[in-house]
Amino acid sequence: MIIKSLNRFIFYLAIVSICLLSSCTHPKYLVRLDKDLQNADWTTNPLNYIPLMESDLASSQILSTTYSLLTQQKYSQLNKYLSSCKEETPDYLLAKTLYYISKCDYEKGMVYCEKMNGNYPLLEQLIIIDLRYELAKIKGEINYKNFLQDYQVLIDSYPDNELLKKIIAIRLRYIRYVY
Amino acid sequence: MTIKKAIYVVVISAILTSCSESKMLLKTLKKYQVPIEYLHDSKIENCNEDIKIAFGSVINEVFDSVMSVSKINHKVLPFLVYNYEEMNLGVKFGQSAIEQNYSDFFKKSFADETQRSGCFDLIAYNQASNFVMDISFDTCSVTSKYQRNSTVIFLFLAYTMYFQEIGFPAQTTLGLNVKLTKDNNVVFEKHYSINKTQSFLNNSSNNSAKLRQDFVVNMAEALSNSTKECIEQIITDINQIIAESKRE
Repeated sequence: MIIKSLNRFIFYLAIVSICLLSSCTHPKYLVRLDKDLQNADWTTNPLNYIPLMESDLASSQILSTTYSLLTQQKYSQLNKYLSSCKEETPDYLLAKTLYYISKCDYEKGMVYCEKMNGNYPLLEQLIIIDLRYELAKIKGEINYKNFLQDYQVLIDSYPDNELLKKIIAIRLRYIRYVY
Repeated sequence: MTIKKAIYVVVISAILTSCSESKMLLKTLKKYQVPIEYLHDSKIENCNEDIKIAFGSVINEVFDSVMSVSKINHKVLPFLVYNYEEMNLGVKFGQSAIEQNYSDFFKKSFADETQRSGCFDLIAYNQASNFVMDISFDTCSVTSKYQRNSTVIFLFLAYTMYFQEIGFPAQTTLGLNVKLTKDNNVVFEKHYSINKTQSFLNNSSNNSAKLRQDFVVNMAEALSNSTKECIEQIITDINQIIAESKRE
């Protein structure tokens, strides 16, 4: 009897450990307000940021709730909240994309990102390259030059955006070192 | 006599260990070949490009063809309970560790940067041009330090061992001379010198293979960023020379 319950305990412990190890405990992409990123330390910082505009949050309840829950890492609460949303508006699609990126589910993230249809052009282009990189990494098909070229096209599309240059410089370090 | 023999054995084994350490590190570092291309983030200038500059020569005979490892020092603290050993190795970066030929990379990066921020048209040497530009490197090196240390603590019949490898940030020293000539007269000549330390994000890791790969990447990144900085400086200066020559 005791041995049986001990075996069951070890079995559940193993399952929980496997789940914990395979889950995305530390998101590789952090959603932050662009005004907060202006003062970030870029020299020793290996983190990838996804910048959100304060004006976008002010005009969208879904985005402001998503941002708030993501920064607190309340993913299950965010999932419930997004499930309660009925319409697939651009804000909802962006929120869903950010949710899946934070959960390291890049395939689902790509599905929602591709549906956005240019409502958040910069974010969309940035996230699509990021997701393509992560998916290529999973398949073991990383080509540094291709991703460098994609990010180069993106920063050249927004030549006055200094924050984007800094964000992409970190992305490039990330790709160089293949984290 | 016995103590003498023991000292000989310790000294010889320390020498052999340090030699094999540097060879072993070099063997693993040589496995990696990394990209060097960088992101161009300079401001795109929309200026008149009626001045043509022919790319003469890029002479770089100072960049090492292969990576090398040499011993810096070897420290041993042989206490009875606490034993610490530290081996510091100096690593010099070489062409063999990068995917692209460095001189070709320099020319291509220069051409790409010219298209963005240069107020001139960079053309091949055999075409008709206003100026000819020659570049010769006098220094081109990337060095870094790699440390391997071990700690052994004895406690009665038990003991604990701890090994660690640390990669230090890479340092680049780039020195090159740029000469701009017009009808065989030198109109601009300047020596550019870049000394840069590239921060290393993953400086210690339990996975020594990953650490060593990142160590090579850090050296390539250092060379890449220094080259970028140098090229941007050269193009800014040439733009100024062209602007001055137009005013005259």
